[in-house]
This record gives sequence, C-alpha cells and structure tokens, in this order.
Amino acid sequence: MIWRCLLAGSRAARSFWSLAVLLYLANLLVMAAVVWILAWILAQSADSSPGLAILVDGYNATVFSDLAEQGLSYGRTVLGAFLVAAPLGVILTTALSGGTIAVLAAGKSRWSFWTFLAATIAYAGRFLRLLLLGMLLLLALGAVAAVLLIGLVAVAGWAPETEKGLLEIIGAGVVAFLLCAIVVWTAMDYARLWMVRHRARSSRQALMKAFRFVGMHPVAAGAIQLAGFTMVAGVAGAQLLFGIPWEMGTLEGIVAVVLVHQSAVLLRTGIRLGMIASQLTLVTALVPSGEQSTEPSA
Amino acid sequence: MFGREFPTLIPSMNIHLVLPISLILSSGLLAGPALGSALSPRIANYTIAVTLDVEGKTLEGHEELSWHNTSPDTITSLQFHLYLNGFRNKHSTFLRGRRGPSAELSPGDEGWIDLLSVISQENTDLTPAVRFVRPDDGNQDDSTVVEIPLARALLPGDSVVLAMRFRARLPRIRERTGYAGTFFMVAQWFPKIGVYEPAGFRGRQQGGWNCHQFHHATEFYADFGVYTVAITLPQHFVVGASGVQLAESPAGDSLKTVTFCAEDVHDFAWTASPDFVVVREQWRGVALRVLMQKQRLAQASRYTASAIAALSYLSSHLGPYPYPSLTIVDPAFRGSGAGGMEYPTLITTGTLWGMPDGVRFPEEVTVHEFTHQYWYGMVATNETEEAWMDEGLTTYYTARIMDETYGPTRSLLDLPGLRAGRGERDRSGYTRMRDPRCAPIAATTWKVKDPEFGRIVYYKTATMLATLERMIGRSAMDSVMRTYFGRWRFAHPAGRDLVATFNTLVPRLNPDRYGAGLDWFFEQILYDTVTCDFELESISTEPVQDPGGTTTRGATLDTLQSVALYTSAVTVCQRGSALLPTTVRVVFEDGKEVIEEWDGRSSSMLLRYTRPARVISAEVDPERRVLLDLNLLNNSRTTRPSNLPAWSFAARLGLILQSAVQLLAVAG
Repeated sequence: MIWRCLLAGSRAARSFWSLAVLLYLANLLVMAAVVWILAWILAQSADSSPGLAILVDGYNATVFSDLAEQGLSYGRTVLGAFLVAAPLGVILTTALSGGTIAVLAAGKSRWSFWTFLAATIAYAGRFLRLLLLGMLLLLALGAVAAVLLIGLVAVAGWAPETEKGLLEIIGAGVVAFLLCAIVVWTAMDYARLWMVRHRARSSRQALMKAFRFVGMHPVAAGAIQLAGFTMVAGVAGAQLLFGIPWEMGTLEGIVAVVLVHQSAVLLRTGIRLGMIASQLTLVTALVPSGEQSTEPSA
Repeated sequence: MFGREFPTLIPSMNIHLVLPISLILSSGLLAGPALGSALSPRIANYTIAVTLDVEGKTLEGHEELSWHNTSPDTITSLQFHLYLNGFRNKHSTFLRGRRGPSAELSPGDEGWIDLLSVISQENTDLTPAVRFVRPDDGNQDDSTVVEIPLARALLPGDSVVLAMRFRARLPRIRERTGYAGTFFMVAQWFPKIGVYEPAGFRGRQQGGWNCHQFHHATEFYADFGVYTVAITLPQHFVVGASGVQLAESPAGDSLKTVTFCAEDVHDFAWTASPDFVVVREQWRGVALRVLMQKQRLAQASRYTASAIAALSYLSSHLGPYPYPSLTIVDPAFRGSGAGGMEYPTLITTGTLWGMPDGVRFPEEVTVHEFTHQYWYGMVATNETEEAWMDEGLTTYYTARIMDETYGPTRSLLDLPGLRAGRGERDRSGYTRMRDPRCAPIAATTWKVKDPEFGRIVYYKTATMLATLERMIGRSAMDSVMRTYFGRWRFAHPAGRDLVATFNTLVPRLNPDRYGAGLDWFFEQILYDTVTCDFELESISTEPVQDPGGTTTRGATLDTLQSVALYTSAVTVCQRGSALLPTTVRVVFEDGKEVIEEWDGRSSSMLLRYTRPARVISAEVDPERRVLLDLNLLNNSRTTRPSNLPAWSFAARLGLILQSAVQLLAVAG
C-alpha cells in the first residue's frame, strides 16, 4: 500500500510538472519582491559609496559593522526580511493548496488553470483558518514543551552539571516537540484533503477527522511523510554541498548558485506535489467512498 | 570597622610562628627549580601553607612574607590587599560598582578573608594594630585593604618578615575566583602586600603605598617575588597552580599536600577539581599542562595549538617566555565565571561541549590570556590605574596573533556564510560604542564609572595601536614594542613610558615623517576623547568653456589640445575633532589615479582639477590605515554608483530566505 502510494505520488509529480512550475513561480514572486525591497534599502543606505562594492566579493564584517552603525543592522535586516517573507510564503502556499489538491484529485494531467484558480479561491479562506488552527495548536504545544523544560531545568535536582547535559535535555525537548509538530503537520495535510474531497467547511471538524485518520493509519501516513521529508532534506543537503550563496565571490559564481538554487526549489516543489498525491492515494484507498461529510456542500 | 571587630575575630590567637611553613622550609622542598637566577627584583616573597576544606569551601592558611624595602624611604607601615572581602557583603566597593544581577550576593554565596594574626620576625604581635583603610572612597563597608604598622621602622634596603594566619571562604564562582560544585578556582585568596612607590616612580609626586581597594572594573598590581605554596586537599583532587610542582606527599586522612614554586611572578593562583583530565604538551622547554573537563577533552588540542601559536609569535616578536611552565584551565560548566582570566603562568579559558571548529572562541580566549603573560605578567603595569596598558596591548596582540594564525577575515568566526576577523571585531567594538567619547583611554581606570569604559580600554586601545602600526609601519611598530618590552619587563612602567619609547624610536626610524615624535597622536587619541570620521563629502564636475587655467593644489592640466576639459572639485572633511593625516585617492574616467596627502589639520580640504576627464570617484584613506575612523563607508563616493553590490547582497539573502520559507511552508 505504502509503495503504491509513493509510486502514485512519483507519477503525479511527473504528470503535473506544469502545476509544479506554477507553484514555484508563485514562490519566486514573493522572493523577488523581498529581494527588490532589500536591494532598495541597501542602495539607499550607501548609494554612492564604492566601499559598498566589497559586498560583491562576499561577506565582510567591517562593511556590515559600518552599515549597522548607520542604522542598517545586518541582523535586523535578515530578521525583518524573514518575518515578512515567511508568513507571506506560508500564506501563499496554503492558499494555493486548494487548487493543487483539486487538480490532483481530478487526476487529469491536462488540467485547466481556471479550475485551479476557482478551487484556490474556494478553499483559500478555509485553508487559512485551518492553518491558523494548526499554528495555535503548535504554539500551545511549544508553550507546554517550554514550560516543562524550564520547569525541569529550574528544579535544582535537574540542573545539569555540564553543558552537555543541558544540551541533551534541551535537545530531547526539541526532538519531542518536533515529533508532535510532525503529527500536527501531517494531520493538517490530511485535513485539507478531507475538506476538498468532502467539500467540508469546518476546519476544526476536518482537523479532528484528520487526527483520527492519522491515528488509525500511523505507519502509512508516517511513511509518506518521512519519504517526503527525506527527499526534501536530501535536496537541501545537496544544495549546501554545492555552495552557500554567501560564499560565492564572483558574479559568475553567484549566477551559478542562483541557477542551482532555483532548480532545487523547483525540485522540492515537485516533491511536495508528489507527497500530496501520495496522501491522496492513501486516503482514496483507505477511506470508503461512502463516507461523507455531514456538512452541506460548498 | 576592623579595629572594632578584630579582637572578637581571634579570641584565642596563636602567636607562634607557623609550623607547616617551617616543615616545608626544612624539608628541602625548595631545592630544584626554586631560587634560580633572578629575572625580577623579587621584592615580595611568600611561603604559604594552605588547607582546602572542600565541604566548607574554606581555606586555612599560614603565610610567611619576606618584603624588601627597595625605596629610598623609611617605611613605618605595610598595606595589604584582602581581595576576597570584596564579596563579604553587598555594600563592598566591588559590589557597589556592579549593576543589575551581578551586584547581588545571595546568602551563602559570600566570600571573605579574615586575618587572624600577624607576627613580626622579632616575634612581636602586630595583630592588635592592624586596621582597615579605604584610600579610594572611604566606604566603611569595604574591608579589602588593611594597614599594618610595623614595630620598628624599615630603613631603605632593609627587609621585614611577617608570619600571618588567615582563614578565608571562597564565594560561589564570580568574576575571577570561587567554587562551583567540586571545581575550585582559588585566586586573590591570601593577604597580598601592595606596592610601595617612591617619589618619581610612575610619575608619583610623593612616596607611598599603591594599594587600592578592590573595584569591580579593575584588576591587580603587585611586586615580583618567589612564591612557594603548599596546598593540602583531598587526595582525589587534581591540582594546577602558578609555577612548577615541586612535590606531592600524603598528608593523612585521605589528604595530600602538593607544593608549587613560582619565581619572578607577582601573584599566585591555583585550581583543584576531582574531574580534571590532564593533557600535556611541550614547546621549546615550556611544559604545557591543560586541565580539561572530561566532556570537552576533544577540544584540548585547540587550547594547546593556540597557546603554542601565541608562545611562538610573542617569543619572536617581543622576547622569550622565560618560565618553564604554562597551565591552562578549562573551567567546569557551572564555574564558567572563572574562565577567561590570567594569572602568572596559569590561565583560565573557556569553551562549550560541541563548539564548532569555526567558532574560534576557545582559541581567542587562550591567545588573549596567554598574551597577558607578557603585559600583565612580565611588564606588570598598574591595572587598577592604567588598565589599558595591559588589556589594550593584550587585545592588540591577540588580534595580530589570531589574524596571522587563522586569517584576517576569519580568525574569529569561520562558518559557512558567516565570517569575521578578530581585528575587525576590535575596531567595531570601539566604533559601535554608544559614546566613543565617554572617557580617554588613559583615564584612571578605577575612577571611571561609565559601563562602556571597558570597550575603550580593550578595543579603542587596540584600534589605536593598529592605526599606529599602519601609520608607522609594521617593522617600526615591532621595533618599538620589542624595545618597550625588553626595557620595562619586571619594572612596572607607566603609560608615559610607552609613549616615550615611541617618541624615541619612531623619529629615528622615520625622521622625515615623524621627526617631531608622536605626541600629537597620543595627546589626541590616548589622553583625549576626540573622534575621527573622515568623509568624502562631494564630487562635482562641470565642463570648462575656455580651456586654460589650473586651480588649487593637486591640479594638473594634462593637455591643451582641442578636447573637452572639465573642472572637478572633490571635498573631503573630518566629521570628528581629531587632527589626523591621511591620503585621498582620486580616480578619473580615463583611468588615471591621483593620491593626495592631507595633513588633517583643518576640518576639510578642497581638491580641484582641470583635466580632459571627469573625476568619477574618490576615497579618503584608501589603504584603511586610520582604523579609528568611526565610519569607513562614508570615506568614498562615486559619480557612477552601481547597484550591483546592493543587488548582490539582496540576492544572496533572498536565496537563503527562499529555501527557509519553502521548508517552513510545508505546513501550508
């Protein structure tokens, strides 16, 4: 069953390559906006200083230090860019999931953009509510983990003698949190599938159903998730081996990194698409078609 | 306060001379490396027997001090530091100087030292006359300095021998000393005599004791001598100390006594823990002994490699390291407050389990603390009054050693996508201060209350020296510093002595440029708070209708042919108040470059050119010699700005963000 699902995912990733390209372009659009804003801020900071040209040659602590002194803190810029880009990226991806699942569920490789767009619009609100619910759940989970961790460390008996002991405790807490988070993420994936398959409106009910499904089929759901994560991590690792953008000192090098990097992003988008297709296959195989939502149709 | 309390502290005072010391002296343990040929004046010589009570965190000590009056004055009293009393109560001068949590003293965490008895060599009991003095602030809650009137005045050239008993309790680790579990860092732990400075010494008007109270932002100052210290503690403890180990013998009841001797040093510190793992290394006759925490054993080679790099560099650039040993202490996790400190021939470092190789914190701390062996250890300036002479010079050499060993742009951090050099950090440590004018470098250290003054002492001094090095040249700098070190080691110089060395040597090495000496530089940067910020204010160009004239300095008329001529004006200015010379590089569109000298005596300079090519860019201090410049980005200007750097930076950041966001969006 698991193998069949993964094969189906792999076939879907190939068949729906144009959908992967569309999702990649959406990601690129957000990033292009962020890059443009960053470039603008930097150009304003030291517009006619050849000293800034040293940035072309790579990281230079002296330049960054002086930029920071002028109010352009490197850390704040990175954090600010991330805080803007991350929610935008997540929201966009979430919103586009409706169209993605609808196209995959239809199973026709010659899909219509308008079908995609209509489903995206139809499910965007519901999926964003689901996202909010999932995030709240994760936040609560994180808070509980933090309280437990702080409680344990604060209790004199648990205070570690070595930093290794402290790191082990923190590491165990982080791993436990991540495992819980993966369960929540997985459930959110299946909740979206549920909502599209059954045209359900209630994100809470969908999430409950998804938790139940994951609880009943943990091995299959976990295997698909693990396969997806492994492939994504593999691509990210290969990307790092090729080179970190920061380290490239020449324009040719930067162009090469950009090309490799974009290929990796596209590849990961395809992997994600395959994952959703695998999950869809699993749900279709395991949930009897007679099981319907109790809610009215959208 | 001491006068009132003292009688009750010692109800049954033992006035007999201390037995353990006599045993040590008669046992012949002082043979071997002790009492070799003297490198220093050996004014204050100590023989101490101390017992560590591991449970009570206390020390019981017997100290015999032999002090030699090398001054032309007759001495009637001696002054001693009791540093541990800085942690006796939260109203001590030390803790009053602290702010926030570090000013607190939790019950049970106190440290203190009581002087139980003082007996002179004539067997006169001096104890009743002992009194606390507060020469700096009169704080009655501070008991870090005592004065002991002598029974007989000490004539020039005479010596006095005092036998003292003391009891001390170590604080929970803070700053430089104390305990954490079974880790003990025992520093500033015994009654330590101050320095008697005669008139004329370090610029003093009158002779007197230099024995300051313990202040939160300052360190130490003491005379050289020979220390012989016998430490009694549980047998399973591993001990490290200043100097070399002479003997180890059982002391009954699962105890042992380990005896160390340190010659030509001005302090003695030791450490003990049952958890130390000993790693040994050797470099040209210097025995390195690293006391590692077990879980960080893999990082021992980082300590030894960086210590050897520093030994090698300083031996060749300043002078040989004359001691036979160096002990490197890796403090316990809970005792990390003891890390990053220097004592004679013993340094404490610091790292964390799993520290990546590219984060060169352990190397940096090791190099820094070892470099102190030269300035704090041998030159031995007064850290309480002129901290910059030790910390600043040490920081400057730390950057030199780190940058030379690991590379100037990656000697501090060398991680994928994140690099920084140690020298770069020194400069930014100064330029990013909230107020770089808060105090002169040479301000009397213990008097300055500004919490950022430490950055002046460390980073501005280092940046000042790095600037000086770029101005006079590396070889001239090395020559000056080698001469200064050779002339003043074991001699307690003052800041003016270092300046005088520059003023003597630099004009000889470079009479054309610095014939008048460097007072103009030091008076601004060392003794004043002026700042430097060169700025390339503007570049303007306009076509010349009637070719012909040339204008002010630097102008050149290359051709009178019938080509278009342009008049270009370049304005440079000094946004700070420093008067420092520099150069300006002007680049024309035909590729020609002109280097102009700017004496820096005015706040701005206008350069005008009439040439068949426009000025397209100009830069003040293009070789980046004046690292004291607060902002290097405004040093240059171009009429043809390129967006390429900004786009390059943004694109790189964007690529990283794109991946991060995509991975995060797996939830979406």
